[in-house]
Amino acid sequence: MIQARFAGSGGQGIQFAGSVLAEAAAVYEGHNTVQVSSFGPEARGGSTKCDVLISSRTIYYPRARSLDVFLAMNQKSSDRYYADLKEHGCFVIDSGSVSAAAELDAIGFPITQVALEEIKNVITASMIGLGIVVGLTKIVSDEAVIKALMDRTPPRVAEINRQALERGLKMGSRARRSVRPHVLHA
Amino acid sequence: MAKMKTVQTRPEALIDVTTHYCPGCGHGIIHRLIAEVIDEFEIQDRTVLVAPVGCSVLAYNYLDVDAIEAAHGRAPAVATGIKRANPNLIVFTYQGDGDLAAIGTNEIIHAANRGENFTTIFVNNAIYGMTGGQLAPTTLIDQITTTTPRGRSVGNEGYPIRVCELVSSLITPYYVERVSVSNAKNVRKAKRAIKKAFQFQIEGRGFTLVELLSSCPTNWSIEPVASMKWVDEKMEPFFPLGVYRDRSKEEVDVSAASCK
Amino acid sequence: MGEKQLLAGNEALGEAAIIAGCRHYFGYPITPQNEITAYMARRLPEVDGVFIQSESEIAAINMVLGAGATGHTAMTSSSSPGISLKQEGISYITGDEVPAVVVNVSRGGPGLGNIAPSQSDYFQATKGGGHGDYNIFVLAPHTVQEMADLTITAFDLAEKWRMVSMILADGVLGQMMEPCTFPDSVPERNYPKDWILDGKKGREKRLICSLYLVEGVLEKHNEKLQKKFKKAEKEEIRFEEKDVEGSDILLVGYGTSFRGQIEAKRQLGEFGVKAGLFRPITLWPFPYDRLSEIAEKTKMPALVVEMNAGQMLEDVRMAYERFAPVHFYGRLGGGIPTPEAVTAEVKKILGKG
Repeated sequence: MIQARFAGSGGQGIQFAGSVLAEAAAVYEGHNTVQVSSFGPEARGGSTKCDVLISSRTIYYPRARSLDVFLAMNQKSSDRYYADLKEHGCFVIDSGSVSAAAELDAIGFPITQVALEEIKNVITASMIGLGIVVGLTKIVSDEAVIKALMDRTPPRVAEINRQALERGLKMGSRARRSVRPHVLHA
Repeated sequence: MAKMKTVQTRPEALIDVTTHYCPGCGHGIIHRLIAEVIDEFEIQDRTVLVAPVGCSVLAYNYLDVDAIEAAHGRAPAVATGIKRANPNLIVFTYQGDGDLAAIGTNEIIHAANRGENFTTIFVNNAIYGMTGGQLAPTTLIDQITTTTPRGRSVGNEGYPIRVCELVSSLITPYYVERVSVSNAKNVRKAKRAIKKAFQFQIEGRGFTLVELLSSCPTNWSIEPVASMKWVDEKMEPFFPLGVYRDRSKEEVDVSAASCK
Repeated sequence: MGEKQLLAGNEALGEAAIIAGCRHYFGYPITPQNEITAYMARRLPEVDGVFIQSESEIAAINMVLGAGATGHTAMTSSSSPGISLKQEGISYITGDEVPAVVVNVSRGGPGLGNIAPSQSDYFQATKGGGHGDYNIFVLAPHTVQEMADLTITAFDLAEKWRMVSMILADGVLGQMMEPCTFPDSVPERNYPKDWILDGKKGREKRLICSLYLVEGVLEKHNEKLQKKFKKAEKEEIRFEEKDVEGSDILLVGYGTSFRGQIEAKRQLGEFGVKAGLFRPITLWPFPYDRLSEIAEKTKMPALVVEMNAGQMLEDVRMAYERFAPVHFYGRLGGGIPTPEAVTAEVKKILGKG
């Protein structure tokens, strides 16, 4: 089983990113998939997390407890959840907003910066993050995650979301060559 | 022998039974007015009464139409469900002052504000009847009830609530009128108001409410005839009769409330 | 069957209601069930249905009564504090014998509690909830797929018995996403409608009421209701069981907490401990007889796991304790029992810690 967690601030698109990954795994890869979210009372700015569990077996317990993949989009969620990461788990951070201790083996990407400067829309940061995670780990195929995004995205932001996701996929794939994350199997 | 002519009969929608209401109570008059209106519009076969909690919970024993009971105060919500599910039905709630203006204030305000296409017959007799004469939201200042044994005071209970004024402060309601059943002339006017309200409902115009000032000699501890005078002399000055809203005569501009 | 979709439990429930023929929904916002209200607001107009965001939970349940009285079974949904407010209406609807579907995506209590998953409304749901002698159907899904399937069942039960059907879920089931498929249609429900209010044309007037003031009449009415409840208790029990024979212990649970027990069974197997599983799907009517049967036959201990301080525990004890011991493990205020905790509890019970 693969246990992935996306965490960040409310309003950053964390839940959406999780649901796109879950849809890719469930509908396009045919895996057993559970997506569970939890968030604070704030609609914006509070912390939010979204867990996606992917397995070839039926998944019962609906909580991630030992993370294979963790994407932290802000400092608060990084501090709060990195302990849930299993040894040699893949730890991705937005280097512009998170500083993680060196021994944690975090892989930093300027996610928000790319969203702002290249995609010109900060809200797409979570799509870049999703792309990086998928590019790095290949928990689902690029095609599956793109198809899932197209299913779930509101049409008016479909193009920009897709652009961001593809940019992320590219960033992740390129990094994969140098960091070699542990092979993950559903 | 002089030829006899029928000048008045029992309305078809009114069942021929002995009343359980007290002598001098206004409910009987109001039931009859509603029955006459139902007959005149020939809507007996598609009318549904939503009965309240209070003395008039048994209104369905008198009116020969389909009926449902509502919990105390909830008649407007039940009526909303009925009318939305079957818009072909003519639906009315029959509510007292405790039911409508105390426990059911939320329901009546919001049904009125959504413009639900039913009619509310609101009977205001300034007291709780069935439970034995307690303070109502419409009880007058200094009026003695079992729960205001020294009379209603502004300091403890506040002023009586004027329902027509409250409901007509909303933009949506279509027709709101206060009438009285204290004398023959007022009764005739009351019928006209009820008829108008049903007319607007049949036309699908929206929410209509008729408030009827009525008597409760038993709980007021006043003789039946004197109690009618009490309605005129004590209630009417604080609850002025008249039309509070008639949107068939006034334009409403939606644009001021729109964010577009 | 339609295509597999990834859906949150709340959305799956909403779509299933539409498939089951629900065209009237009345609700008031409360977390963690808001997705149902939003889903119905979006979907109902597409199928010529009626959606109203009511002024309160109390108003919503009374709108459900009104629509139901016309023969159009309606649905409302809420979460624990809101369900408390609906109890008045649920009692009236039951007395009135009007079909209705109520969804409780429950959260932690008492009071405002929290928005985390909880099963602390078990007593309220299964033992009446409001005033008077009555029962309602209580269906407890444990997957997103079951959120959909049991909603369809709920509409059928409500109309068949002219009763309230409640879906008792929790925040996890409401918000987690899992793959789900829907039937293209449901079997037609042709239950008699000789009681609905549609105007007295060509017949005597009808009255829907729960008030019976004349001496002895309410007793008759209640006897009739009780007869119905007893019959439903015989005919509508639903449960799921696995390996209840030849096991060392029986794990009993429902809803979200049961998911941890399934995982625990797997873990226990690795230690050579055989665990049976028993999950009531209808919490009312409760499968007392089957549990007694298992206890009498196997004499194995049972472990009840809940996300409360031990509510279903009382029902299991009633059925089971005559024959074999019943143990309990629970989490309060939002915790979900982990498979590890259940496993540890089992080892303690079996003296293998």
